[in-house]
Amino acid sequence: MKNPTKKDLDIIEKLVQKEQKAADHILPEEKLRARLKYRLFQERKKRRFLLRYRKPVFVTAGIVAAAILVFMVLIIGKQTAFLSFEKQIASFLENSAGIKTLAQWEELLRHRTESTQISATVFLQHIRKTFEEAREKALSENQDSLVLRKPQKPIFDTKRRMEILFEEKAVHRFLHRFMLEKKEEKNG
Amino acid sequence: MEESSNTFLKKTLLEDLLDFSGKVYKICLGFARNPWEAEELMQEVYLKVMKNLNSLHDTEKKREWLFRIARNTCLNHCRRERLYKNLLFRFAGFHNDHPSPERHLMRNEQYRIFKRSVHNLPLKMKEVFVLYTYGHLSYSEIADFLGIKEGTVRSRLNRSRRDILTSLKGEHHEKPDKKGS
Repeated sequence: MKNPTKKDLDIIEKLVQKEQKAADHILPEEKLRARLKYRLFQERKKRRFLLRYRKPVFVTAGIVAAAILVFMVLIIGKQTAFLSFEKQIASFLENSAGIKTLAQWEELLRHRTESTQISATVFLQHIRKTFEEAREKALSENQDSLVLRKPQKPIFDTKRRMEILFEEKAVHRFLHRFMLEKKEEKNG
Repeated sequence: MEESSNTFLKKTLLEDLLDFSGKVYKICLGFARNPWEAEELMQEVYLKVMKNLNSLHDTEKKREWLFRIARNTCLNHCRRERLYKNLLFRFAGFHNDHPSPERHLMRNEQYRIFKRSVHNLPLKMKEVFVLYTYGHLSYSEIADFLGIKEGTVRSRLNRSRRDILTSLKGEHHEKPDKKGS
């Protein structure tokens, strides 16, 4: 095709003009501008909302809060992870070896159950079981073994403590009363 | 204090740039298929402008900067569109659910051929054609803007016009023959 003449160019020009006119009719410039401004405003608002939290105060506060949360998780995790149930009972027994009164027992038990988040019933059942196992073991060992000389270290130190505890009437009375209360609660 | 003054400057700059929205819209219209698509493109352009206001160092060249963003956005749009050309042609073409006088133009066969031929132009030719015909920029402005020689602008524009006219005349003349046959 040869170079376009003026007449040819007019065709294009007219088409473009018509298109622009039609577009202006469909979306008038004022409307277009208003919609554009609205969208920009919305976007700016969004960005502002996010930027508000980019200030150093919020960032620091966020970091501190996260650190505290991590520490708390670690501490709680440690308590539950490193103190197994057996260890908890052992420490409980060790700590309570010399306690004889009911009030002291109650106080100690409440404290232990609250701090370890374990129900008192479960705790007491485990104590009972441990007591019985320890007593049977201690009795059988005492019967079978022949002690020729006095051991340098007390072998049955913990077991002995358990035995003492087991024989204590106060503990028995307490456990008995506790279990009765629980049963009554269950039966309504 | 400094931050607030900076925000104010940005706001005024954006206001200034909004004054060119009409021209940006026209450029977008040249690249787009319909006014709605052009509006979308224009909004996209201004969103980019708002996000990248910090990168505008020379405020005297804000107009060129704005048009460059518009041109890049439109070209990206065209490239993206070519990937799923057929789908778009079928589903996102002209909206036919709006019975109004301006629909007449949209339904006009000559206009449709013209629009299709503009759309099918190679991107290099298309951008020159749109910037000249729709954006009403001068040869020198386009040359500066695209970083090419003025002669190249002229030749590209000439070629694009020829292509458009060929398809306009060719398809226009072919039609009666087809009907006749």
